[in-house]
Amino acid sequence: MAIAITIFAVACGGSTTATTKVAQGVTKDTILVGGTVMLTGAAPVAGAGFKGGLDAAIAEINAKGGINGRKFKLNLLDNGFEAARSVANMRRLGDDDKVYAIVVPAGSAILPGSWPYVKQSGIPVWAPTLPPDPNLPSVFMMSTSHTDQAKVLVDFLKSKNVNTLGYVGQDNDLGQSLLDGVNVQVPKAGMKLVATEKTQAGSPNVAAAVNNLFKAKPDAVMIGTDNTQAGLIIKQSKALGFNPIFVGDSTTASTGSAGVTSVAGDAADGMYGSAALALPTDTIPELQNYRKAMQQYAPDQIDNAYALQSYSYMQTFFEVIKRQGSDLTWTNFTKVAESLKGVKTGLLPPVNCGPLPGGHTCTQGAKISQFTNKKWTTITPDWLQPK
Amino acid sequence: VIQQVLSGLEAGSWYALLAMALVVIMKSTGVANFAIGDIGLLAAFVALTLTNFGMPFPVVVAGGLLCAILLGIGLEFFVMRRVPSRSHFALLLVTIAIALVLDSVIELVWGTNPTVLPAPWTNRQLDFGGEVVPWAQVISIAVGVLAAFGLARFFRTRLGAQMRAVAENPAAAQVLGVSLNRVALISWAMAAALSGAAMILLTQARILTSSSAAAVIVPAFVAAIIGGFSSLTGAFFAGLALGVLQNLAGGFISTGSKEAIALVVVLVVLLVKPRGFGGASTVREV
Repeated sequence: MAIAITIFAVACGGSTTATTKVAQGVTKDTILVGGTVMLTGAAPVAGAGFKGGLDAAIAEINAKGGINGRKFKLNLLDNGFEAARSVANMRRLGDDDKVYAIVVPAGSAILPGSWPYVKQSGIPVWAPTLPPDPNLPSVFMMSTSHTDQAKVLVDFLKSKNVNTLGYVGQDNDLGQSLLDGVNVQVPKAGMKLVATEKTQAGSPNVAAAVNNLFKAKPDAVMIGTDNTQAGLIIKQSKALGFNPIFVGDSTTASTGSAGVTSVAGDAADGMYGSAALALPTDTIPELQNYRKAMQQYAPDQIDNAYALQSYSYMQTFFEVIKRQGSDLTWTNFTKVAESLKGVKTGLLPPVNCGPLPGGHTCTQGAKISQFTNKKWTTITPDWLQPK
Repeated sequence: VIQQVLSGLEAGSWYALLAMALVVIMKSTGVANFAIGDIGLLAAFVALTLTNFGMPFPVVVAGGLLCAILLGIGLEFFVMRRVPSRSHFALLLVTIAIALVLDSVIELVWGTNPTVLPAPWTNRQLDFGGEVVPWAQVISIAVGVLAAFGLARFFRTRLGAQMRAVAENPAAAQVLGVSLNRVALISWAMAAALSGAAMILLTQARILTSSSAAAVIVPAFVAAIIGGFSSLTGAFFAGLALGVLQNLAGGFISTGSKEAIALVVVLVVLLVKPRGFGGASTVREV
């Protein structure tokens, strides 16, 4: 399809130059990209952050003149954190709005429904956050997988002398991905998994799962749910006087942002989260550009970790566009993206992509952060790898 | 099992309060009020605002409930009684419209971010011989029981009898000097207060978001249907039973079954006892 569109665009002349090969969404001076995030629904804190980071990254690159003479336009849709809307948005962006690529689509649990469409259309999807890697030719993951983050968290808990672990996750891919990591790493770490509870995605009713965890009394509980449920689980556990160590990954703990902690309130104090990118509050020098751009274009989201996430992912997307040169076909996008090696933003683990299978998950490793005194602080400066 | 039952009774109390609010309005005006959850949700958001202003908790609760009552009165006076058609279907549609408007107002004023409505008993527990029970559960259950008793007694008073008379035969009640408008106004105020209490209790235990009402309105309707939409006692016990049933199913079968339980229950009730338990036979024109 990409080739057909390219041939059509070049044959028609249109608004492209004679020597430029392009796919849909590209004109001589613009590249239209699309996004679908949860501006409303169960995780609007995340959605606002993603939007802020995308807006800032695109405004920043456009202020520098764009890439190879083309500026970027963003068509951002609200998925309401609903799978059906997410699927409809992806189709609309690809088929109706004719974007060149879909960037940082958000919703771990709601994105997989779009994979059949993405597979059929071949539209590039850059850095979806953070479903399991679908291993599709046009999808590239910029974040460490839930499974690997769960493994890093188990190793970390072992270092905190945790012997028994409880797990509560949603009955979907998100919950299963973390559980996969737990099931692999818990025996390796010499720990015992004493409870495995499931929650229904989107339901605020987590009491049954919390009661079962309370009965098992593990030293620590790993959470594999959306932010609202994670906050409720922590809150209702504390209401029962049940105080294990709570951990979650970058998505389920919303590490660095208020997605979980705003729901759990004071009960969240002390919880740990893995992070697959730097935190906005870190003091590393690489954050200067981010803070400058956010200050200028989306100041209200500057401390939202989701903003840093989308901003960071866009830097790697721009790198691919830059390396594509004049060949802006979808085929070349995949080829160039697969060739990214050792790209260092300082904000993410080093980016190393490769061919399928497996090569489209381009980063590994995670840092651990803790929520204390109403803020997240990175407590392991290096990117930890699962043992 | 005990903890699962207690958690179920807590959720069941919220369902029961909302179900009783539905029954109160249905008994006196014949309207199935789909806006009842949102009226209570607005009260919870007002309570949150008062909390943010540093008001003590009793003032927060009183302010929220007062707001709900005023909203209920206002909606009945300015909207419901001015609807030209008196058909139950038209009035039902109006309540759906009110729910949508209230949802939008809440999102506009308070946004969509989940937040917490703190209560003095948050994170405090009672110990019953080794069985830990959060205060939040005790208070939810107690408020539900008190409301049920209070309503049962109220409907034995002169005003309560007038409301029952209106429910039985509005024309005859009017001939006997009962003011239909006054009865409607009082029933909306009472139902709004019940809903306000339900939503404040729910949101202090869980979270406060613009979608909090949506999570409980279906179980509340199921409880009201089981009570035949006319029996407060039936609605109360049905709400509690539904909460317990859902939680036991979630704890021992699967979490996915929790939401389905309510629908299975209503299906069974409609098949086995279409008028519900305690429901009186009524013919309605829609």
